[in-house]
Amino acid sequence: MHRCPVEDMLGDIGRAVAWADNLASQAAIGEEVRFAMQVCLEEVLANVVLHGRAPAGPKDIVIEFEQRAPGAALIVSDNCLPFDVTAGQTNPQAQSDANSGGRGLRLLHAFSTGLRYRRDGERNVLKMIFEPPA
Amino acid sequence: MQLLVQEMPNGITKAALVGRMDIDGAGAVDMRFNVLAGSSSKLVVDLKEVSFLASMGLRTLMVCARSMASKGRKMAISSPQPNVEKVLRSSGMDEVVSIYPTFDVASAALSG
Repeated sequence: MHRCPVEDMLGDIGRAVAWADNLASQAAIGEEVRFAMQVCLEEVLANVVLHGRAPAGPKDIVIEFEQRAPGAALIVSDNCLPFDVTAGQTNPQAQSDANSGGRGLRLLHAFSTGLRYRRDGERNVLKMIFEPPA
Repeated sequence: MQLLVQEMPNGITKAALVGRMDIDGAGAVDMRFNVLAGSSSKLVVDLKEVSFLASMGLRTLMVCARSMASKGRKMAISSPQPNVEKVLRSSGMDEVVSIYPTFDVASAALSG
């Protein structure tokens, strides 16, 4: 398991996506799956940075990379208020966003093999699974 | 990310993107799209040379499309690579902007 903290700023998302893609490349994961991982990771991180609200103090955002041959899983966790993207909710803070209306969720479903959300104490934990097409 | 803008003889503005339309790429061209939305009456955004598109790139295109539509102006997208087209269609962008296989087809559609 590899772990990478992410700053609460849009400007750090590119670094985080590159970090995950580098690990995927080292794990010999195919281009199509790597593309899907990048799409989903940027979507989720942008949502947390733009719309997540930590109840007290700064946001703490962490991504983890887990190899699951022949694919991988990405886990994004944060200390923001509960928000289950897999339930089809639109983040209340994102109502006026151009990507609102469930577009982000549609992207996540289209590009990941599986999405699992859980609340772990004070943290949102979203696990995204990526496997190559059969 | 590069944005190459060309005024065509038939009144179409061609905006050709080159590179990755990721969060950094979108940031690099966002302001220029705002200008295009205000200055073009018929805009074709050509994605032939775009290898990646995700959340913030979609947002840039969506804001431009909605701004143009609100003023009665037309926008289309042309020539997306297969993975980029999957992003456009699975996000529902194709419900807001028509997507065409080539620039010429998009240009004809907006001219008609």
